This record gives sequence, structure tokens and C-alpha cells, in this order.
Amino acid sequence: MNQDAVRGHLDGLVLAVLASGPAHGYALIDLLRERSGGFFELPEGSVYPALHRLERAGLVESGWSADAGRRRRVYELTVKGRRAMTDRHREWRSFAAAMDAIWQGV
Amino acid sequence: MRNAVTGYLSELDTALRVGAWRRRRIRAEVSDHLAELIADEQEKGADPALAGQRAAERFGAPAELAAEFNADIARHGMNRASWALAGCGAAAFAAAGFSPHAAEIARPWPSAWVFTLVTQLWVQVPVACGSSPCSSPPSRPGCVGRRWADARRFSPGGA
Repeated sequence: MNQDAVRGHLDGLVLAVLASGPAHGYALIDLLRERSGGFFELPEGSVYPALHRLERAGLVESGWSADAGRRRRVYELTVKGRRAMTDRHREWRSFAAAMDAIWQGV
Repeated sequence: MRNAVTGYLSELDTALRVGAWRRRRIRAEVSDHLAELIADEQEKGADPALAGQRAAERFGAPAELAAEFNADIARHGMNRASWALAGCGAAAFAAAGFSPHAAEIARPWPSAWVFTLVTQLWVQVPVACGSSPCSSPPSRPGCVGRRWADARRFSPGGA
């Protein structure tokens, strides 16, 4: 799949990964790769503009945490973010079902 | 390892068009992530120089990353500006509607020329600052230093 196509869904993917718990940027991209079975091989930096965008929209919140003597910025879903994630999931399922229906006719 | 991170951060810094607070935050996050990537590459057996290079490749080109941040910030700024404009328009409309019809004509305060000067500057200063990012060092600190370095390099007595 084209990287640009994945980028178009990055915000939703980030919300979906954060639904399983708070994470910092490095862990988040790792989870994205792992949960997609290695399918989403994005430049690792591309997750930060998405995180900052989601934070400005009030869908995620962040704070510094120190684990193993290292300061990291950890992101987690807000209540609004959880609702947005559910909405996007529903939209995606309808979209995927419609696409499947069309492809099945080929 | 330090060179790879500082080199990457310096390129990113030059291309970013964001405020000082967000710039500091982006730098801190990118630097943390790069350090983890370098450690990961070193665990896989790469020497420090190669690990730095691979980490930068995995992270993505600094110019592209900065462009994404810049586009986002610009979109957000436009959004806020349009809301502010709409708010001002609504307030002006409401004020015009509520103003007493028989009121005295407003007189410039404290004098006509001071009033004109202040209103002129009010428009011209933001336009000048907005049109040239280099005229505002806090928004792009790397620019001033680089210009100075370029001037030294190309001057007859420069190194």
C-alpha cells in the first residue's frame, strides 16, 4: 500500500493504538508496526506531527514521564479522543464493507 | 552518536517555522526517539556512526518532518485567524446595531496624528513580521546565525 494512503489514516491509527493504553512516540510506532504485522513501515518521525495535531484537537493529552532515568513524553486518549476513535472505527468499517462489496463483484 | 543527533536536530531546526516553546518540545521528543533508535541499531551490531545514519534514515528526512509540522501549524493558525475574524466581524456588527443613533461623531484620541500613526503601525508591523520570517529571530533562530556565517564565508577576509 502506498505510504501516502497510510498517512491519510494515520490519525485514526494513532487513536486506535492509544486506546490500548498510554504510550510514547517510540512505543507507539513499534505497536503500529507490530499490530499491522509489519505492514505499516512509516518513517518513525511521521507519528509526531499526528500526535501534536491530535493533542491540539483535544483528542489526546500528554505529559513528561521518567522511567529508567529517562524523560519521555507520554500520550494518552482523552474522553473526547475515545469517542472520536469509536466514530472513526465505525466509519472505517462502513468504508471497508463498501469497498469489499465492490471488489467482490470483480 | 551525539553528532548524528545534533546534525539531525540542526537540520530540523533550520526548516521548522514554529514558536520557541513548540520547537523546544519537538527537539526534545525527536532527540529522545533518535537516541532510542541509535541504541537499537547498536544492539543489532552497528558501529556508532552507522547506527546514527540508520537511525536518521528510519526517522525520516528532517526537511519532510519539518514541512509536516509547518503545514499543520499554518493550517491551525489560519483556522484560528478565521475564527478571530468572524468574532470581530460579529462584535462590530453587534456594536453597530446597539450604538445610539444620535451619538456624537467619534474624535481621534489623543490627537489625530497619534491616532493615525498607531493604527498604521498596528497593520504595518504584523504585515512586515509575517512577510519575512527572518526578521523575527524568535520564530527562526537558526536563520540569523546562518546568514552571519554565510556573510563571513563569502567576505574577502573570511575563512
